[in-house]
Amino acid sequence: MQRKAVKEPLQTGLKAIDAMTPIGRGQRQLIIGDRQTGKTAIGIDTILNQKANWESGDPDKQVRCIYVAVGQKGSTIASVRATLEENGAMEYTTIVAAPASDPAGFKYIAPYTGSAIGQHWMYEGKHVLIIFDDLSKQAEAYRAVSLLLRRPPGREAYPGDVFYLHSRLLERCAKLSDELGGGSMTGLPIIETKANDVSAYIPTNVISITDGQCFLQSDLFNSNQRPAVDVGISVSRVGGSAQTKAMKSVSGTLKIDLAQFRDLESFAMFASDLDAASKQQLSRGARLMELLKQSQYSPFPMEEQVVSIWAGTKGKFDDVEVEDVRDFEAQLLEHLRHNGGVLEAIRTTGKFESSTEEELSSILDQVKQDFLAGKGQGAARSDESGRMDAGQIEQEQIVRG
Amino acid sequence: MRGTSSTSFAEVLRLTEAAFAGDRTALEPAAQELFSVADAIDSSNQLVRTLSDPGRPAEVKEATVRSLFADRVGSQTLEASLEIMRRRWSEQEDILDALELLGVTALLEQAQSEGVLEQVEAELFDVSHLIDDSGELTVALDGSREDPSQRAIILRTLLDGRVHRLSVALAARAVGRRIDTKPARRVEEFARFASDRRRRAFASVSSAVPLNEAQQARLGAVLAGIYGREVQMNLQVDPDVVGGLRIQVGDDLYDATVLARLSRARSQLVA
Repeated sequence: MQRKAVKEPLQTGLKAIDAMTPIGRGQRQLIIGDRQTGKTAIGIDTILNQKANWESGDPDKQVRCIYVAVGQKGSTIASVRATLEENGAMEYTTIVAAPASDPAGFKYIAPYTGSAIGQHWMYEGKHVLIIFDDLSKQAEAYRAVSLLLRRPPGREAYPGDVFYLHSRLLERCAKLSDELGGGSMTGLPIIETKANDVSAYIPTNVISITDGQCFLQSDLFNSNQRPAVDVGISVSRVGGSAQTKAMKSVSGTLKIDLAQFRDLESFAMFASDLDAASKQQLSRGARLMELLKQSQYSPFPMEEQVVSIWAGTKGKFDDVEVEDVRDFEAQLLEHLRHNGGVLEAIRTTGKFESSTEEELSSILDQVKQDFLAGKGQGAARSDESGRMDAGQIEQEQIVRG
Repeated sequence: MRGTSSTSFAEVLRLTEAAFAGDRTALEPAAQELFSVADAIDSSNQLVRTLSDPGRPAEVKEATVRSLFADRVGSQTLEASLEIMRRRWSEQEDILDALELLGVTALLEQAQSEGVLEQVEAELFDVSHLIDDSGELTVALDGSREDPSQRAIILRTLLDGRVHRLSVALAARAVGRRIDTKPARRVEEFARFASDRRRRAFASVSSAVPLNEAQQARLGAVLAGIYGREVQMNLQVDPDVVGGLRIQVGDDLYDATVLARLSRARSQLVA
C-alpha cells in the first residue's frame, strides 16, 4: 500500500473549521461559495497559520504551502503575495500564477504544475498544503480549449472528460505510507458557485471527488457572520480522526448545539413568548455563533481554540452580553497566556484533562468577575474609593533655611 | 480590464466624458451616485450576475437598471449606467469596475475644471505611500472580513483638511470597497488613472515657426474631434523639425515633420 489513512491534523487556525470540519494532512477539503464570501481569505489564513510550525524547525510539523492562482487579476495575486510577505509566510510558500491575462492553456495547466511541485516534496517525506484558487476558472479555460479543438460539448458545454480533469488533479493529494517516507499533500480546492447553487455541474463533480467541503454562504457573510462557514451543510469525512483529543473532547456537542439553535431560531421568528429552556438555548446559540466569528489574518493556535470552544459550549459566556463575547474571549486568552499552565498543558499533551479543566474554570471565573465589573454588570467592585480627610494626609514641608 | 471589456470601457468613457463636459454643474454628486450604484449592484450577487450575463438581451438589463435606479439618481448617472449595461464585458466584475472608474472620472473632471488635477494626482500617490509606510494603517485598512465603510471613515478622519477634498473623496472610495486588492494599490491605481488622464488632456505640439490664431483653432478642433473633448495645447517652437507638426497626446504620437520624413527616408535608403 502506498497510501495511509489521514490521522494528523492540519490546523487552519479558524475556530469554525478546526472545531467542526477539521482537516487532516493528506485530505482534500473543498472550499465552496459565491463571489465575495471570503473563500480566498480562508486559504490565506490557513497558510499564515503554518508559520508557527515552520518556525519550530521540526520537519514533522513543518508544512510547505503552494498557492495556485488561476484566472485572477494580476493585482489580486500581487496583493496575496504582499499579504504573505508582510506576515513572513513567503519563506515557506510557493505561488504558481496563471493570471487572467494568460492564455487558456496556462490556466488549464497551472494546477498540475503546482501539484507536481507539491508531489516532489511529498515523496521526500515532507508535508505540503496546496490551495487551488480557483478550479472553476480552470474548468472554464479547459472548456475554451476543448471547444476550439472541436471536442463534443456536454453538460454546460464542458467536454466529457471534465470530471477526469479534476479527479486526476485532486487524487494526487495523499498521505503516504511510512515506507514511502510518510509525506503528505493536503489539497484545498476552491470553487465559485452561482447563486449559492451547489448542484451545478462543476460543484457536484468536485464535491464528489473531495473528502468534504466548507460551504460559505453569502447571506451569512452579509449578516456579519465572518468567516461565513455554513456549519449545517459543511462536512469533513475523514478529518474527525485527525482532530487532537483535546479539541475532540470539547467540540463534540458544538455541532449539535448549533443545529438545534438554527432550528429553534427559525421557529422562534413566529413565536412571541418562549419557555425558559428555549430562551436559554437561543442565547447560548447566539453566543456560540459570535464565538465562531474571527477577523482575517488572526489565526488561533489549537490550545486557545480549545479554551474558547470549551467555554462556549459549557455556557461560560451566557452571562456576558453577545457583543462583548469576543472582547471577553480576548481578555481571557490574554490572561491565560501569562498565568497558569492551562495553555501549556493542552499544547504539550494534546489532551484536555479534568485537572486542567478545573484550573481553567477557576481562572475563567476570576477573569469574568473583573470583566463584568469593568462593564458595570454583575457584582459591584470590591475596592472602595473615597475622599481622604485633610488630617489623614501627611505632607513634608520644605522650609528655606 | 482586458479584451472586450477594455474596448467597451473606452467607448463608455468617451461618451460619458462628453456628457460630463457638457454639464459640469453636478459632477461630485454624480460621482457619489455612480459609486453608490456600483455598491448597490455589488451587494447582490443575483444583480451582478443578471447585469453582466452576456447571454441576456441588453433591453432586459436596461429595464432592470431603470426600474431600480431611475427615480433615485440623476440623469447623468442613469445614462452612464445604462451605457455600461448595453456593452459586453468579459468578466462579471468588470461592470462594477467600469461604474467606479466613471465615478473617478467625474471627480477628476471636477479637479480639472478647478485646476487642481496635478495636485490631486500627486496627493493620491502620497496617500498610497503613506499607507505603505505605516504598518498600522495597512493593517487597519486591510482584511476582507472587516466592514469597508469603517475604513473610509478612518481615512477621512486622517486626511480631511490636510489634502484637497477631491483627493479625500477618491482615496476614501479606493479603500471603501470590499475587494481583494490591497488598499494602497487601489489608491495607486486611481492615481495612475488620473495621471493617464492628465497626459491625455494635454497635447504637446512642436513646429518650426509659431502657429497663428487660425491654425491653432483648426488644430484644436481636429484634436477635439479625435478625442471627443477639449484638448489643451502646449505649443513649442523647435527649428530642428524644419517644417510640419509633431503632436503628442498621451501615448499617441502624430509626427508629420520634415525631420521625421528625412529620417524615414534615410532608414529606407540604408535598408
